[in-house]
Amino acid sequence: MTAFLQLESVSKWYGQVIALNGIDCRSDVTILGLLGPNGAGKSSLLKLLVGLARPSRGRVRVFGQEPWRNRRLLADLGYCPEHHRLYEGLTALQFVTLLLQLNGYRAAQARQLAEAALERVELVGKRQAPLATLSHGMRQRVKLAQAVAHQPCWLALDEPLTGMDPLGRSLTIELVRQLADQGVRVIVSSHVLHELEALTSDILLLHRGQLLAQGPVARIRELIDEHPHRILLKCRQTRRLGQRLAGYQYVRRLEFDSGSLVVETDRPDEFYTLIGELAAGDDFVIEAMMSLDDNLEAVFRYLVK
Amino acid sequence: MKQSAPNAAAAPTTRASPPWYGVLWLVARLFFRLNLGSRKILWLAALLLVPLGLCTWWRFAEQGQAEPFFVEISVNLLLQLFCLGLPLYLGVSAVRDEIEDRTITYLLVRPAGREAVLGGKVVSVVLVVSTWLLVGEAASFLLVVSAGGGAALARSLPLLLRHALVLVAGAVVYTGLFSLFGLLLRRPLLLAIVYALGWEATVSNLPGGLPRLTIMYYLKSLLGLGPQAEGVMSLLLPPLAAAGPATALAVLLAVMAVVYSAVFLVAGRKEYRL
Repeated sequence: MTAFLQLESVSKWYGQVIALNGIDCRSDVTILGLLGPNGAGKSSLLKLLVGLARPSRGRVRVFGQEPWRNRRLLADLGYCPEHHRLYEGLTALQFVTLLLQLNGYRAAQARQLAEAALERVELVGKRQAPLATLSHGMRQRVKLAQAVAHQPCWLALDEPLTGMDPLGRSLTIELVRQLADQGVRVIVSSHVLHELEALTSDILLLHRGQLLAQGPVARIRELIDEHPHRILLKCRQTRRLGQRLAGYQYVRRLEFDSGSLVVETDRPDEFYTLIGELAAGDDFVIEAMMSLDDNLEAVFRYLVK
Repeated sequence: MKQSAPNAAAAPTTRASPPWYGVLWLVARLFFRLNLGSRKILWLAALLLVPLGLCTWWRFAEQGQAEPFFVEISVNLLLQLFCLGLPLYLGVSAVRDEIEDRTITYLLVRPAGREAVLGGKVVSVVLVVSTWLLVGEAASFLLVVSAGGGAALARSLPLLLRHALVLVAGAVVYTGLFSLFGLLLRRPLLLAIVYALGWEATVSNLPGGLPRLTIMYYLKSLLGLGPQAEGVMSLLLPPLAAAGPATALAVLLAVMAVVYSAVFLVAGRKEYRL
């Protein structure tokens, strides 16, 4: 059976720059997340999938078809690019209507669908506003509206939550889930793990143009949990706290800095419980605690070692 | 979140793609309108003051006959300067600006053919340039020729039409050519300026047979004008006579066909780094 997405030894380079390097994967999930830090190749991969670019090497297939110059496949695509540039001289309604007309809808029907799409992203009150006057979050929603207005079969969303306000985020997440429930296939990229977790449990993990892992988010979480965590503690009694923590087996390393202590542990859950107990007591005043490893960069550093 | 409309199935449908001519016209109309509302139009409106200022000056000074002065303005200013300069200014950036802005991604991920979308952008520039030239031409004509009264205007109308057609032909061919520069090259402006000033504007007025290799020679030939060769070179080489109207028209049509075929071919196949 034809998979939604199939990549065979796909590489893409721009001059001397390698954007993607020998990606092999096959996916048939409803929502697929592309996860990776900036420059990982997420946008390049999406551009190959939506036919904006051709692979330098290898084969890209979406629903078994090659996307480059494939008008039939594009008729069923909704694409939300990463950049925020729009046709500033148009209103939101004119913009979405125009793009619907390029999908083959007549002017009246296109306008009707555009109104409906703007309503779905709760921008109907701003439909006559020039795009140049819209805030960053509203522009994201206009981009989303143009992607879903023609009721596509598949969506490619490049960092759709970046720069969105909390309302926009929850709207977008809910909309994507609704569409997925209706059978729309979605590929969504992000460099923030918890953003993707809100949308899907299936991800492709990219780093420097290479596919590091494919599978459920839980596996990525496990990888995070498996590798030693670094936790920064701000405390007035760092020396004394360090001496106390050194007695625990799961504390692997301690680093002292002025007014702070960095602890490396391979059992973060137990460590957090211990700190909670210590903070509740009278011996130590812990002013702040933060994980230095929550960001993806740290996971990637660990994974590519 | 509002309730959604029934959506698509999991597998692609066979939706009809819009016809290419519909897309081309839709894009051309839209960008013509956007161009009219852009800041560029202020520059263009200000530029109109050049021919209109000269015509107003002539009108008040009343120096010589109206028709020859109108021809001077039409050929030396509108055809040789603006019909070359405006397509250079607007044509090179017709598609290039959108590639740099990346707004073109919205158009290229639609089932409308790339040729029609990018071709529509070029056509929109042809419309802007032609409109500007025609407004300049008609206003100059009215300012200059109306000095002789209504009878003079009616008598000179065929002259206006002939010049207007040549300007539109020039707008079509030069806009196509400079858009092609913009489509093909990453930094097209320098080469386009060298071509416009160094080749079209200069070589078309040299004595000898070289002007035959310029587009301007054939445009001027449609008005019955040959190269305006002057100076020492013209003593050594005889100036070229104007080409016959049929030859000039045939050459211009052939150049248009080649240029626009290349525009559509490149537009459809080139991959842009977006």
